Amino acid sequence: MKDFPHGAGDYARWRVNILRRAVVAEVADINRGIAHVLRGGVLVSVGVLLAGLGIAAFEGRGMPTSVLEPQQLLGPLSTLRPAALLSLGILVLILTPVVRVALSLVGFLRERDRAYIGIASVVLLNLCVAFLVGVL
Amino acid sequence: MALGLVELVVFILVPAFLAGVAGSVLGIGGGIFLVPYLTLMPGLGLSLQEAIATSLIGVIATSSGAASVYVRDRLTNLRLGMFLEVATSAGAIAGALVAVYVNTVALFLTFGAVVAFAAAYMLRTREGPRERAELPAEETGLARRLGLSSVYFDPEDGAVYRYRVIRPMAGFAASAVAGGVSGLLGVGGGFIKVPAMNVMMRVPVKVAIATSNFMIGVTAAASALIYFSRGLVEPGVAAMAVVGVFLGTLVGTRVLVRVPAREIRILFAALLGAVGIAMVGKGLGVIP
Repeated sequence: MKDFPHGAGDYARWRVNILRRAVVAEVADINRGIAHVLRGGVLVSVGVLLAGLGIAAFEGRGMPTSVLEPQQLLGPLSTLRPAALLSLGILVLILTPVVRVALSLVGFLRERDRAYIGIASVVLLNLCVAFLVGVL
Repeated sequence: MALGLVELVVFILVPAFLAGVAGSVLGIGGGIFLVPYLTLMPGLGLSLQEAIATSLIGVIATSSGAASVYVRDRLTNLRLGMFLEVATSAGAIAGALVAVYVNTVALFLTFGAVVAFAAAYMLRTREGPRERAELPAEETGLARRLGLSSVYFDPEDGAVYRYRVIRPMAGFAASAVAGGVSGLLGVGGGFIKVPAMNVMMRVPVKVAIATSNFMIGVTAAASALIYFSRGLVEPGVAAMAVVGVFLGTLVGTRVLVRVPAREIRILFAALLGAVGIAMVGKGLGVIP
């Protein structure tokens, strides 16, 4: 009986917590990693961007005016150039939803959920097509 | 033009923060606010394309930041989101491809009308605890096969609601349109998806908002990658926008779950009304 609440406010809070946990347990969590991927992607991106903004402000030479292409990132990144850090942070953010779709596909594959394996594959394929359309 | 840190904080961080709050509470990316702001604000010196590119980055930040919270709390219907993403992503490609050939006057007028209709509908229907508890009787074969119906916990009244999803193909078609608009105009298209899920598919408004938010990241990522590889993203502005939007989602996601569904519907209807008026104005050439 240790958990049992005393007082009206306590009881309401206890009930809400029980219900919330019940829903979390019931909704089959095929994509347990999704929330982590989304949060992780955003946090890494914001961290890298803040570092880039901070270094740019510290150097006092103004903000970089253009992004670097992915191939150009590696060199300047090792010397912590603001332009490289800002480009990397933005790229991480753009790729976060793509990684999320890929992760869902892995989840559905593991579940052998045929309908959703198809659905996730088409979404991923569409993303690739969109990318190719843009590059060409 | 190179902006300093102080200018970025004042002119980008604060508006981006507001866009992040609005985006996570209303299930939209916030591009509808960010694109006009970034193009109209004097002193930023961004072209329309650069504004769209930068706004798309902000939209992804809103979507991923808010969705991580809504997915964790099981407010997002992941299956419904994946299913409709097929339509939004295909629509976005089609929209981007035909953008050159479309008569924008007709497009804006049509959308003004559609959006105004959705606003009226959202104001007219109620969604109190009683309406939520009443399940629509029929569940069509496809919705059942795809396992779209689900359950969510609403902290507003501390209750668990089971809901059934109906008319999956109607929602699919509306999502394709939303994707097309997003490819054409560089916005997330949440202002179409949320009413479509809520009104047509009978998804509770908070679930519709969380699921729309979840989908927007994928739609925006496709176009953002294109703009990024063309070098149209202004790094300083985009970086500050991401930070601002991220802080906004931290606030907005706390607001959504607590505010009564009725008030969210009224807020959303107001947004739709404003968007409708702006679109008709644009179509008629009253607004530049």
